[in-house]
Amino acid sequence: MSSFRSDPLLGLARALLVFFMAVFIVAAAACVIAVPVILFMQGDIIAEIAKEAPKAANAQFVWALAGLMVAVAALVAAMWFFTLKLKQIVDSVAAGDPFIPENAERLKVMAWMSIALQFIAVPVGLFGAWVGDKVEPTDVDLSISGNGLLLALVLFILARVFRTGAQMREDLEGTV
Amino acid sequence: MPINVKLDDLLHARRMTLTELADRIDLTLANVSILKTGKAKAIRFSTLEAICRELDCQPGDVLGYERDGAESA
Repeated sequence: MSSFRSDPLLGLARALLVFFMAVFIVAAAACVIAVPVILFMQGDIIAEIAKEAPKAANAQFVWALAGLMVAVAALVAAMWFFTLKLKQIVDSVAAGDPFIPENAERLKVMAWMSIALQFIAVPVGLFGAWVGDKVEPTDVDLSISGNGLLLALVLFILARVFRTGAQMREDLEGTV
Repeated sequence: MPINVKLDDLLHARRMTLTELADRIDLTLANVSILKTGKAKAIRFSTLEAICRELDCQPGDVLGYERDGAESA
């Protein structure tokens, strides 16, 4: 039985996750749509950029912009997948049955995704830094986040906890 | 499984129904039924103790062991 109503935290978590997932879908779709538009309207974009930042008004900049859109779309898609797995776990908690092997697998996938996000963020940072620098000189931090790796470690450990929990529950289920 | 549960014979000998036993040992009918049909994976000492108390028997009267090869069809 669902306990979203009796547990406000679960309800809030689910609502937030659904909201984020919707935002990620819109963002990814916008980036994917932007790529052909940027390439198709290269001339117009270059002309427009020339007014603001003449240094950036070239085809190379437009391609970098398209590359940035692809990288951001990949990043957002990975974040959507991560959020989806978290939502599935929240749903299983609300259903009163969180210690299942599926949740251990979900946590493991989330751990790998948090590592993958670190690597997907590199091209986003590179493209972003290059594009940003052409418009206005900026300092961009391209380092791998220690928090992201710590999150991956925590998720891997939680996945093991859930796998053991699922096994214990299975043993208990057949006990009379 | 080589462990068999002889609850049926004991209940028959004592003219007791499964429902009555479930009530007396404070277990659900579904769980007692799982035990009786040999589908249980494990039995708690407390459950075994309650069965032995109510049926006035020993654990060996409730559970039996047969080698895999010795099982008859």
